[in-house]
Amino acid sequence: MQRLLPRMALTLCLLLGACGTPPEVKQLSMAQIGYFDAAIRAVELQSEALLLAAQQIRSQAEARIVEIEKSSLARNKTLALELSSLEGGRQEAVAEEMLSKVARVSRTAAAARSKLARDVAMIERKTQALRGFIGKLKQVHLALDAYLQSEQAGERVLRDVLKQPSVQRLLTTANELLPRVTGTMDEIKALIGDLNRGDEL
Amino acid sequence: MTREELAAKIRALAEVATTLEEPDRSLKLGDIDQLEIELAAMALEETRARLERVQLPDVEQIDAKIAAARDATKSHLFRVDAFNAALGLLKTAAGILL
Repeated sequence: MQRLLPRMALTLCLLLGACGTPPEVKQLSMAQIGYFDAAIRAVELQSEALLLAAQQIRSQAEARIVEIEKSSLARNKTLALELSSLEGGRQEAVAEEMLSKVARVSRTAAAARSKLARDVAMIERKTQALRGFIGKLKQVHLALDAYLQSEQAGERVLRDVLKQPSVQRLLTTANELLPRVTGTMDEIKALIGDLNRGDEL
Repeated sequence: MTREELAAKIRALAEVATTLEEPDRSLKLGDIDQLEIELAAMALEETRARLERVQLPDVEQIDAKIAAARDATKSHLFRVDAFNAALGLLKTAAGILL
């Protein structure tokens, strides 16, 4: 037992030293979880605003494309009516060029609508990834917080099992107890020494 | 060339085309229609390009690090348990001796 006690005291000091997170750091860590919640909300609102703006820009661009298509159709109708006034040889060439341009405008409009839809989808994906990333950062912090707060977990065990209010209280008790234990050990040792000497006499 | 610069060039071309005689006027304006539609399709180009430049760390790597940190914390809690057990022993030993 005499050999065991100093080892236990050493173990106690080492372990208390290992989980000695300053209370200010623990408080900051808990506050940080709240800051992350605020940041997550802010990013959500920004993402919603960005998506809304992207969808409005897409709608405006699509409306502009419809407008161009209508004006193109009206112009080509007029041109078609005027084809008869052209010289015979030119009528066919102009008609072919006109039809080819109408088809190209139609293909370009379809490709433009598809590109706008892809861009909005990409913006949506990226903003979702940003939101997910901030959420992930909170998870990282929760993992760090679990470590920082682990002394509290230890204290909970102390309260439940050993009926001690805190690690600090137990340390104080142990510090008070140790000199008495050491003193008692010295007294016993002296007593045994005396008894041994008595035997020798 | 920016989108605004492109729009200005297309407007300038359209102005020149309107001065032509038919049927060239309508045919040239048909080419300009196509350019205008392509320009409208670029409406979200800049926003998309900016977002594409944002490089986020790999989420799987973050998850792996979170899992490793949680495991390490668990083993720390086991050490706290060991510490509590050591304290219990110390208390019992002191109680026996005193």
